[in-house]
Amino acid sequence: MKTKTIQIEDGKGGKTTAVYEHPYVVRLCHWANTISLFVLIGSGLQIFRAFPSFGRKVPQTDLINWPKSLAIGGWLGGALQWHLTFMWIYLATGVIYLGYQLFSGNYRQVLFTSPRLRGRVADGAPVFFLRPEAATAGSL
Amino acid sequence: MALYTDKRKFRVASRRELLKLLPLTALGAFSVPKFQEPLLKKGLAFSDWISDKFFRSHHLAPTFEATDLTPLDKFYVNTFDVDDPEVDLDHWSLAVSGEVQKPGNYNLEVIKALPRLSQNTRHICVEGWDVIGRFGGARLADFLAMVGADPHARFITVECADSYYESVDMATALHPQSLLCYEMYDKPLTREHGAPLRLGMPTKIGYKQAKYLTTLTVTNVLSKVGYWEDQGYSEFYSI
Repeated sequence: MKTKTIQIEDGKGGKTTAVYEHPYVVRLCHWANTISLFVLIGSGLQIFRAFPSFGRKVPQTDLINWPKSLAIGGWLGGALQWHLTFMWIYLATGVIYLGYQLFSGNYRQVLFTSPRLRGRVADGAPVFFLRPEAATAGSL
Repeated sequence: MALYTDKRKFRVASRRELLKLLPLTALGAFSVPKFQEPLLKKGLAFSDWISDKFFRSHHLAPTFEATDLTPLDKFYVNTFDVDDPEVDLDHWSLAVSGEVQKPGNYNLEVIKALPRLSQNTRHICVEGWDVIGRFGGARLADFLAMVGADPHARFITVECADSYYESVDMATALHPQSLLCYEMYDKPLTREHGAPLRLGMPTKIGYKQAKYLTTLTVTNVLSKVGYWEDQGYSEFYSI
């Protein structure tokens, strides 16, 4: 597991070591997802806006008429272009992320693995089952 | 908040950080008007390309029981211009041209002489609504075989009496459920639903189901794709 450390001030005049807990690829994928989801939600709202109320003819009504200012794409065709394009970018980011986790072994940092879980189940059980007296007496 | 105490170190580190952000700034190209449209067009074309690869020629779209049908009077009429382009139904014929052995004008009797197929299928609009309708007509594949269309040609294009136009990839045109539709709900097409002849392809989105057909061309090159596609909609849009 590769982590990057930097020296920062500890606030008392001295220095302490800070650790980037998440590797570069993970952070990059995170921000790429932030952009993708922003676009996907915005263009999704524009796609919602295209749903018409036909009144008598087809008795369906719009659930919510989203404000145009929240929507991306301008019209249905434009919104679909944004939506479909960023769908692929989102998917590609996911593939890169999962591939990185798998091949770098970094998934051990993210997922619970059996060595880390050993003994912890008993520690957590009182909290999980809402028995405060047991929890305060326990090691948590 | 001063995380980095050493200014020089800070500069080196931040330059490296900026460089690492390059993949994200690449996404920023989408905010540049000059690149935006070509990039989005590429994204859509990629989507269409994938859809094309996943299209299964003999996989059938779902069909429904008669009890599931949307009543004809609730089947929404969607047109881009007029509901009735006033086709002269008595003197109508379909002008066939392009990569075919027998080009010419084919009237409705010739098309009705082909085996008739009636199917209850879902008609889905890009706007988000859908209806289940009963569509009857001749298989497009049978018609293309009759006129001797080159099955290796890439597209068929149609033009309509209301100056709408559309194109369909050959794999979809040859799909066993793709119809030259002259009936809806076992009655001849009404004018607002595209009399006398429309496309009925349950593997495609609604705006591809062109009405009031006047010409059909088999071709390898598309000079224009379709009325809506040329404004930015998906060209393939299978469902």
